[in-house]
Amino acid sequence: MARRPDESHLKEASIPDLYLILYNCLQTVGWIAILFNTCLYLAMYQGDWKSFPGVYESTATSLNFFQTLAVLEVVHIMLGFVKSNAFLTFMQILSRIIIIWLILVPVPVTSVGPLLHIIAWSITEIIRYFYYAWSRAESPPYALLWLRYTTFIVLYPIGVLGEIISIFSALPTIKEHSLTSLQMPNILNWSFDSYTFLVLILIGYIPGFPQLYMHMIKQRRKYLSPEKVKTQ
Amino acid sequence: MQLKIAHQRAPEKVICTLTGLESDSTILNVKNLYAIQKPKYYVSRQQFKFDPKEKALSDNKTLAELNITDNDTLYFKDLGPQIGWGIVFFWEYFGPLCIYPLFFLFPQYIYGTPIPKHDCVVELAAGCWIFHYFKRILETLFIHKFSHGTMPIMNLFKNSSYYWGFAAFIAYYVNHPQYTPPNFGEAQVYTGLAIFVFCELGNFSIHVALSNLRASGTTERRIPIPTLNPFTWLFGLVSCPNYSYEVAAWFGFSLMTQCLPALFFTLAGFLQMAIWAIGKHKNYRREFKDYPRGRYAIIPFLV
Repeated sequence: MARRPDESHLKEASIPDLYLILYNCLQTVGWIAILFNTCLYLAMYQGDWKSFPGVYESTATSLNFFQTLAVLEVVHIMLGFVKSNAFLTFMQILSRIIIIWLILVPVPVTSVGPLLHIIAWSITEIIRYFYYAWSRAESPPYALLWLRYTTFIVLYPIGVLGEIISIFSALPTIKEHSLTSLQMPNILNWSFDSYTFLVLILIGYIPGFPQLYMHMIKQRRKYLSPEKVKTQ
Repeated sequence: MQLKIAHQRAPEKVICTLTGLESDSTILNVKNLYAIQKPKYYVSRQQFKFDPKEKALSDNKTLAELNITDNDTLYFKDLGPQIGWGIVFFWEYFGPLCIYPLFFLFPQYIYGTPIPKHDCVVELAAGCWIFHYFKRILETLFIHKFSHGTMPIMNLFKNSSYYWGFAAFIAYYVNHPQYTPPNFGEAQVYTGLAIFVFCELGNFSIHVALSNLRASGTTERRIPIPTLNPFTWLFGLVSCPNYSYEVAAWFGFSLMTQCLPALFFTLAGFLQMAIWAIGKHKNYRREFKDYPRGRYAIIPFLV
């Protein structure tokens, strides 16, 4: 009855396949660079263990670029290149883009937050993109599959904790200088207040985190169940 | 013949056996029998599969057609409490119809300042908004025929919060005391209004055409084709012109009001409708071998 998740021979590669392999390889390399920069920062680090100024700045360009580039993944789903839930993917990417462009870029955060989530993001992304790139060509080895659906158990909560610490530690500065806000009247007929928005995002973590975590647990069960493993 | 029924989640455990079925019994007959044994799961709440991982079996297929034989097992899935489409549609459109005018009529309670005279475009926008949702409710009551009778009850809350939320979000800014009229003045307002009105008429025409396509009382599906009404000629280019018109109407509204939240609403609506349209388009192509080739899903020559 059970269908194999993937036939483990080389598939006929189509143009989208080639493009996706290239895209995922590029992202893998990008996130290796981000992790490398962060490790380099830690190796050179001389301060105390309470605040980590400049951790984001040590890899700002690459982090901004590769995380923002990930918006393409929603496009991939909508074009039918990748089968996945466009909405869930969009929410996952959006929360990180918000952290980068509304917090890390305008506010010099010195708390441990950025360190935690940058490390958690980069390890997760290296494994994830490497897995995607490989699975576009052929069935990846079990070790990679296992990592893809196991590391999140620890890394996802660490990442979320880091994100929440980052938002909390940036809120006072954002409120004080009313950073990234737009007030009526303006020609867009819209107003935006970064502070209120971020507070709403924080509240959003309460239903959002368990939902995404349970989603990943289900995925893990689906891909790593003993029945599936036998067919590998 | 008899069939064993197991739950999709626990495929090994047989929960009940249905007897008295024939090879020309339909899945709907199976559902009726099951509902007699388990009254909690009324027919529209049930779903059956031949393989827990495969697609659901459709009501009108007979057991013979599906190669289901005596003593086979079918897998049951509970779709959860169901609610009629009409009720969901009514409430999701009734909200915006009430919420928007609150911002227009009682600015003193919302913004703290009364507005002696609204800008002309603000009045037009309120008119368009009310017209649109009034039209939607009338269509739900008198025109739409639904091929599926029900949907999960959670959709009532999901859909309503989407429509009610966007209604408040847009109404807040368009009726704001510090609202800025469009940059290009009347030309922009009337272009937007013309697009809106034209597309509302188009959308209405398509709904009527779709409704006439289906003989009343049946759920039989046919290929939608252009009729004598010129608005329906868009069927020659796309499978879901009602969505094309709807997106374009909201684009017109956004252009007319020059309000970014309205554009967000247009974009969100477009993404959702594009997903639906692509799904329906694929279904049409799968269902009808002679489905016209050149048609796209929602945007002519593109999507």
